[in-house]
Amino acid sequence: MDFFAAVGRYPFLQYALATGILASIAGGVVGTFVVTRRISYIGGGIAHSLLGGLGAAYYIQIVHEQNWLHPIFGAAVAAVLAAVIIGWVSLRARQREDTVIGAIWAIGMALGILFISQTPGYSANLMSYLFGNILMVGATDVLMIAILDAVVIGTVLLFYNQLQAVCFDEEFARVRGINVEFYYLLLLILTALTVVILVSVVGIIMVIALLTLPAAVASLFARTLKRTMLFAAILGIIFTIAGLAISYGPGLPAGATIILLAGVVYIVSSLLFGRHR
Amino acid sequence: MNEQPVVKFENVSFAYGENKALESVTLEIAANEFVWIVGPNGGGKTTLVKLILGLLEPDSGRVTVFGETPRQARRKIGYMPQSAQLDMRFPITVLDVALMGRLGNGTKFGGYKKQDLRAALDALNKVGLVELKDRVFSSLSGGQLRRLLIARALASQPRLLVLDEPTANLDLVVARELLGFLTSLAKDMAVIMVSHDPAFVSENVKEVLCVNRRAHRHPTTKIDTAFLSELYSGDLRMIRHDRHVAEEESR
Repeated sequence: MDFFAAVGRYPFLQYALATGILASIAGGVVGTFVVTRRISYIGGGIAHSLLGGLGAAYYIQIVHEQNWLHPIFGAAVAAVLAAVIIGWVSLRARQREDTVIGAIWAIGMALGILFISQTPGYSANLMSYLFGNILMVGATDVLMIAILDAVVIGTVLLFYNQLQAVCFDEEFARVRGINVEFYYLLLLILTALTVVILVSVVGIIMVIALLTLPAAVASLFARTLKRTMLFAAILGIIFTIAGLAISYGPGLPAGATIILLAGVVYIVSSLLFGRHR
Repeated sequence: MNEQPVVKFENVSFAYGENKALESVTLEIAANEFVWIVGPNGGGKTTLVKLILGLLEPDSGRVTVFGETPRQARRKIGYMPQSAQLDMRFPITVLDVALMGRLGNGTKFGGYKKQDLRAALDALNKVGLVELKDRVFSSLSGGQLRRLLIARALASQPRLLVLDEPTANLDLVVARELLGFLTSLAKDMAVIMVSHDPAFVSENVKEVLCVNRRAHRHPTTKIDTAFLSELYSGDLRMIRHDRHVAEEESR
């Protein structure tokens, strides 16, 4: 149990724990919508494209000495922009949605890699954006993650019934006079902000697993959307804390450990409980 | 008495690109009518329904519902979509589904109100599902699922009920029971029901609306196997279909 003893001593582990818990709450809530509405591929596209924003902000911060410009701002702007573009295309020209997602996915990554390559200093930053480095999270990051968390949760609380209806039966919601396009875009923007939060835990490449796997496991057991969200958040917290604890001793990468843990639980529970309706 | 028609189509045409779905359709549906829309698959039944709901706009002609545009009239319409398009694994309770019928009735955000809960429970009671209100959606049988979707439509307290294939994939006994219930609803509201399965035309239905690019009304007394084989076969027999209509009109 040397991890839990170390948490009391080292602030960076406390920040890591706080990040894991905050990220799991937003991830559980929004991940449930993503899984039930079947838009995890869109989530993947948004996640990868945000490297463009991260890289640009990082470049401007270092090269032009704009210290206020935290890379997470760049990530959030890029993610929301990607969400709006994908959402707009999928509402207007449904048949080419997947091509557009693939394009945004790759263009964002390409931009990010170019910016980071032109930034002097640690190129190790690229690796930590891609694969996550929860142990590098500082107090400012935790504060910003907390703010994003509050925005995401608050918005879902406000529009829960509408979002649920749009995910369950879009056509019926439309006939009831619900602005389906607005709520679909809102859902994509919430997904984008949640992805930004989760990237600080497990990085861009693996983020989609932390977004969807807890919700997928939870949906095997929960009877309602709200409970799926609650179970998913609890599962996410368990995965991140257990992943941190397991990886801490032998010095394994925390992100990869967290994802493997989530993946194993997902596969086992799907095999055991996935069949019955 | 000159009552306003519930639904009015004036010379309405609609095409999906090159594919004409409906051509110069003119029809009127009166209050408290039970209208059964029949016709072959791809004949334009669902298009007709989507025009009534304002989900599609006609290419030419005019659709009015309660004298308004379909979009303006939406709150007066209860809609039951085809159940096949729903995700049966969606985690949601029976009551939560019924409550969706209350959306768009009140405030833009926040929870449902007391009167919403009352209306949803009332609707579940009407269809005999109130005891199952806390059950999971995925645990319902086919017949229960249809009744839940009808309850959701009724929860909005509509003056027009539109149902798309409510009896699809139900066994005969359950389908008959459901149809009996639906015809009883027509006492309080107009009911428009789509079905490609005309085997269940009940004795309560006086007329069917045949939709195959064009729309014609037929009294059910005229429906026999010969009529059905005409409606559901190819071009050659469509000509005879037209003659059939002419004969009826001359009477």
